[in-house]
Amino acid sequence: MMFWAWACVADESSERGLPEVPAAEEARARPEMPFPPDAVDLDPEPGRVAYALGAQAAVHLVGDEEIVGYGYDGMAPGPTLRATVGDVLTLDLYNTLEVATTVHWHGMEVPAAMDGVELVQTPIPAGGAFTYTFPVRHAGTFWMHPHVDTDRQVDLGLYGVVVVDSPDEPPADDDVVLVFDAWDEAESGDGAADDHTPPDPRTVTWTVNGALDPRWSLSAGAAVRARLLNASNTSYLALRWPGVRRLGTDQGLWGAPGVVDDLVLAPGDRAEVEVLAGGGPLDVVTAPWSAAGGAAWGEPRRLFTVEGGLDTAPPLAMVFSGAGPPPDPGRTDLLYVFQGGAPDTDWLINGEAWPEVTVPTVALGAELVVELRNLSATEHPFHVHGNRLAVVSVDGIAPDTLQVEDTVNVGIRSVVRLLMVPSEPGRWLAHCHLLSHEQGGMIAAIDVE
Amino acid sequence: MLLAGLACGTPDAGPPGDTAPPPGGETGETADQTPFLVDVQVTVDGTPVEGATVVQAGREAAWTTDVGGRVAVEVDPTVPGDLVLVAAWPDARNVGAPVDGAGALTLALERFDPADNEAYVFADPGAHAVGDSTAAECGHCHLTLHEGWAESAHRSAAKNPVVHEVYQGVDFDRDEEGCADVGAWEGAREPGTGAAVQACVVAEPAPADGGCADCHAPGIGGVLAGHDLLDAVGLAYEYGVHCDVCHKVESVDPGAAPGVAGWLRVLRPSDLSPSPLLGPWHPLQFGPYIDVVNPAMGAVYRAHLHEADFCGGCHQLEPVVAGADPARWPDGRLPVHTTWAEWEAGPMNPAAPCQSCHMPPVADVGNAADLGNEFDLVPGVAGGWYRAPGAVRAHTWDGPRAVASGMLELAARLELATEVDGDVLVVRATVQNVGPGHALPTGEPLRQVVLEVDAACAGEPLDAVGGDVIPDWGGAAAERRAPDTLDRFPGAAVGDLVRLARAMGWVDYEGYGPFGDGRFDAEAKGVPDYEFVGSAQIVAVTADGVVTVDHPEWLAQADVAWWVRAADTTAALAGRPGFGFARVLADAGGRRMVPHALATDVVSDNRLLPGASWTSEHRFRTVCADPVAAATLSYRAWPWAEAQRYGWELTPRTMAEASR
Repeated sequence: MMFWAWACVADESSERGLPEVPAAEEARARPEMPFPPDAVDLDPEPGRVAYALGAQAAVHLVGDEEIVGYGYDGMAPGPTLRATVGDVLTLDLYNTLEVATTVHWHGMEVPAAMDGVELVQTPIPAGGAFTYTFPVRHAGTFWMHPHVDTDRQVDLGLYGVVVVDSPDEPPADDDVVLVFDAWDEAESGDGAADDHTPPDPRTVTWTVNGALDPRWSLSAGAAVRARLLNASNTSYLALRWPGVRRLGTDQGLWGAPGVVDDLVLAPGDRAEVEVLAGGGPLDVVTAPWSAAGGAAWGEPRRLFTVEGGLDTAPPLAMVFSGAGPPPDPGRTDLLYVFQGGAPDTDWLINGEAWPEVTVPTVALGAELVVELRNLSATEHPFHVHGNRLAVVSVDGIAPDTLQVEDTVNVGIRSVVRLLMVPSEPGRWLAHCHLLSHEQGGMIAAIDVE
Repeated sequence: MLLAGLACGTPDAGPPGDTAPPPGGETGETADQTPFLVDVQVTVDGTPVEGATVVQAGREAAWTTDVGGRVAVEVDPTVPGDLVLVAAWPDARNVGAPVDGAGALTLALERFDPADNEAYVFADPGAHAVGDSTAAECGHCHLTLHEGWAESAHRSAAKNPVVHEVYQGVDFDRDEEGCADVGAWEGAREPGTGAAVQACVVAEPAPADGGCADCHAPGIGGVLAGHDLLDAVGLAYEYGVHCDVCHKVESVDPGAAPGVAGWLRVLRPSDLSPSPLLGPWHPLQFGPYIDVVNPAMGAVYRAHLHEADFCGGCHQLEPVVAGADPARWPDGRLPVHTTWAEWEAGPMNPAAPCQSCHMPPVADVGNAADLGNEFDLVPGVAGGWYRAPGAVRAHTWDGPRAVASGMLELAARLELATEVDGDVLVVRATVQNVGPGHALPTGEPLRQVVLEVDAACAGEPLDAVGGDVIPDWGGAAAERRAPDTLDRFPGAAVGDLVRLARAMGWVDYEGYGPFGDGRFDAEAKGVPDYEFVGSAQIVAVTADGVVTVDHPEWLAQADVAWWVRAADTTAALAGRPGFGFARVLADAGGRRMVPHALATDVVSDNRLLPGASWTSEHRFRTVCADPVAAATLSYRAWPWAEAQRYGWELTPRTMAEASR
């Protein structure tokens, strides 16, 4: 979002760390954590969920700044869509914007015609409507956002979370979404820098569910399942949230739980964590992290504070599969090499920029080994539409547990190997989810037959 | 000009220039953090100029002056540190002035003398340690950049022992006794001093025409071009391609003579210093940032530091070579070292210039002077301003020698396909250049990429029965070709190998320049198409070197034989199942894979251009239903034969492995 940062430092003391505000004054000034409402299910039939949302102009209040943008039902994040594995999900999207839009179901295995990209759908014109409908196959934390003029429309606030429950997973006391967005990722106006320059993590303004630096008061004895989404265009989070269990990632539960010491959430990335009441207030911070080089110079910055009450909650009775990562078959079926970095030029995959790209054809249901290599000057969160990606290894090291993703960050000079089994025919995009990179040509495509 | 900025300030002392009035104008007070406008006029030598660049130090945004030299600049008061506006003009050192509120400001620039100054002495990069160096040394402030450079190949360019041994044709590690069998104990000159010494001359020297020093030792000074490499002494020898040389490059002239002989136009300051604190000459550095106004730098912005054309100055060499065959090389130029041209013609141009891969971002420093990391300065004139993480680029220039960088492992793809045809396992190995924007390998033409292919049943190696082989430059103690007899290898011993191959014609491929643009036919492209016949073991040797092998029938089937000593079978690879990719230079006597200074011909060049692939085929006699093929792709910095000649260690680096 293009405005001057609320949090830009005014003096040296604040520039080196968190603002020093007297506790009482701080408590008065900081908002309570808002949570987007659940969208209303319009279909009472079991096995079906039906929603209606409007893509609308909206005014977002970020601190003292009023931002004219967009939002689903006027909100950023928009209402949360919830479904259970096996449901048929239907969304009637009404476009009241002055521009065309679509909905892309980020991370969900949908029929190609429902993917919301211009390859398969004429964008919904201003004043138009479109019905998306598809069976929900997998549990996890997904999200919806436009896939036309993506960089701008997401930046202005068109995004929301889609939570898909599994009947096998016990319900939490609270099942919430925490959507992070960065609101001042680039300078604007005359002389603005080329968008190849990553945002400065020391100065971007992060909101959580649209609020600046909120306080989150847990109910006494509550065990909370929190679903995290980095909805920013180009900014990374390096969360430090000690004491919470990491339950899962883009595509639901891990094979085994983990911890959250430095949880890097790239743009488009999600994670699930368990938050338990008990203990004193805890600041959840993000360490500086840049697409240009990863861990960056600077001090951690507070995103929100968890106030956990006094009653300790028991952990969620999650059942993890215990599965490990898939073995490496030792071959590579699809190789994507990321290149680029010069100002005012394209970003490349395998030396090509969209739409002038080579499109391989792969077999429906075949197990594919996908290798990602990054020879460019920034990291890239690589997202494959309509498919699930099991992590085989990162720089030759297999993960400790099964991790199934749809958006995988690839560090500079890093190599990531994945397994993918295409489950829907059609042409699928695969691209960097740094949205300026996507707009800059960093898109590949796969034909599944 | 804020001369006070030369000294390192502290927060207590206040930023240098804090109290100085803004030159050329007054600005008012501002009480809040609201952006304010400053009406800036930029003059050069007293005349307003259109097109000057104005920035607020510490920000990315830039503004350009109008026909009257004016521009309204919105100042962001939240930028940490001193609020300074900076004007830049190509022919003048940057000038900055502090601002503290809306108003008017004149930034008066002065042109620097455009004449190069042969009396200038290049600055010392210095020691990498705070407190161990002076402000006159680059490493005093630029700690991270200096640290990277100090480990780089650029730093050792002038003292690289391999370069010096090739330059003089000398193995400096060999003593007189050890020299007796391989060379002549003769007069030579000691690298780094030029002193006369006795050394083991093992090869013809390179011509001392200055071409080497123009890139390997550009900091010799005085008249820039044409030095003997042995003129490099002191800093010029120790530091090779160093800070004050690269940042004295005022402009680039692609296509001109390499290095400081033309492509890289060095401009050493001729203006007298305005202060004894700054040395005898007015500092002048060409750099990649506009907002550098420390007077010790004398900074001038140059975009070429971000561009491949800059690197091309020493990574493109097509010399005119006496003795080159005019039928092959009509203009007499040999494409010896063409990394820049390979990139320029390839798909990474312009999106991924050299810097995007070889100078990755450094996110964990506050700026190029380690502001905030090592120096507790208020951002300002002395230490510069904070930059967005990643704006600073590593000065390591990682390449194949930087093992930890993983660059070689990223460069190529190796895939195997197999089929069993009766009792024969057919293996097809595909090697693709998937990473670099240049050929694979590139640069110094002694470099090679070698593919070795094997097969096994339950771990037991299978015998190769046909298919492609690694060519002659893979290494052998000796080679014989039909119609000469293939069984005469004086010096051979029982247990040594004779690898045998049949000549099938010439491999056609699409390489660089005439090797891929239709000018050369397959024969002129010079890669023999050898078919593996066998790897025979020597079982007897006569006094005059006639060998008997365990499979004498193979000798009759073969057209070429390579003798490999038993101790060398894993390093001397000529004739082994596999393949090779290299640019092969030959001297006037026909010796192949020679150092480029001795070359009169490029006899072949099947290196893989960006995105290109090559599939070789290999056959093995299988004794099981489920044989496993395995392949290793390796990089070698120099050929086996030269390693033997000079005593260099041959340390192949694995780029990729595959099995199927």
